[in-house]
Amino acid sequence: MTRLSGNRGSARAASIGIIEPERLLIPFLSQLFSEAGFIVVTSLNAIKIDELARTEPANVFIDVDYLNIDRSDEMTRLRALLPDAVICGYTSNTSGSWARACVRAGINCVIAKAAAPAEIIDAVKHATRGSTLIDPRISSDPDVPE
Amino acid sequence: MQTLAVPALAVTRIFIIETQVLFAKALAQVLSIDSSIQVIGDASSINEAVLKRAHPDLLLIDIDGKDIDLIELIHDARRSLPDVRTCALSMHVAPEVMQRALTAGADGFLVKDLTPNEFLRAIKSVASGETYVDPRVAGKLLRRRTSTNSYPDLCDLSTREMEVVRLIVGGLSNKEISTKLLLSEKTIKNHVSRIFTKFNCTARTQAAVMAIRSGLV
Repeated sequence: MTRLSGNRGSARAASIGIIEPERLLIPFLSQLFSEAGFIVVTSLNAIKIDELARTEPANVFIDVDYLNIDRSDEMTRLRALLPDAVICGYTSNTSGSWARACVRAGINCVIAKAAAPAEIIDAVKHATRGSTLIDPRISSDPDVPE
Repeated sequence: MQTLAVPALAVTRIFIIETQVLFAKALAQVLSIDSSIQVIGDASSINEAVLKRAHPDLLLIDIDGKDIDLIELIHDARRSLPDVRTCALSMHVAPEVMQRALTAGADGFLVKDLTPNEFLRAIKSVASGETYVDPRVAGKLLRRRTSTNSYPDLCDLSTREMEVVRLIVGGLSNKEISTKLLLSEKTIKNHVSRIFTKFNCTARTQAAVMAIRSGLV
């Protein structure tokens, strides 16, 4: 599924675009996804959704903490630009309602920043199989706003 | 044959306080690029016994953890290790956050969108005894200082309160703010009440005017 092969279609399926404004994280994330068999087609340190969409990644990993106050609109736009992509949001927000809003906006998978690297890869791979996921660390407190 | 003694390169021992496992690993990876730096451990919170045993030269603290009070965290670090350099790391390019960190005793304030090279330079600068603050944040603070004198100190506001006051300035009701921020209306009311107390005012319009004149908006 996400493993590389000589097949062009499989390679396309393994492509991933990263948006992470915390630049210190980008080399680590790129390495993490590469080692897990993904092909990192772009890694941006700013919320440049159009630029990301132009690379047509099959998967997206985005730090949703940096989307502005109308962040759900940006997510909706990202989904519209990449209707078939598996979009995984990465957040420090532990609010269940926030995570559900992300899903409503088209995010396939919401991962807590408390997750270990292996958990992140597992979650993204799970999402590539068609599941919608919210990290249990988030969904366990749906009524706690902060 | 005589062997020349080669002076050992001074190594800065760094301990990372970071609630996000992935970010702790990423920071350690970047720091490991520089041979004069050694990451001796990481933890999600300040544990006096662990820190004293580790005996770091510099404590790198991510202050963005939602359940953590920044001032308390840095105070704890200062109390546990008074002689250790302390560097705060945040995603906020916000003067009020930086000022709170420095007031609490941090020797440096770094923003997470630094490139690895900038990050290493900043860390080494703090380790060498200098105070480092992100130039963008310092510039904002200076500009604000020159334009305000008699208005409330925005450093008193938490990040969430600043977010709320900005929306008050935008004319939003508590209900609208709660929808925007995905918080309950009761939570917003509490934030507004605390903002009024800190601004020493009783009305939203007053708070909005003060926020504008203080340079927040």
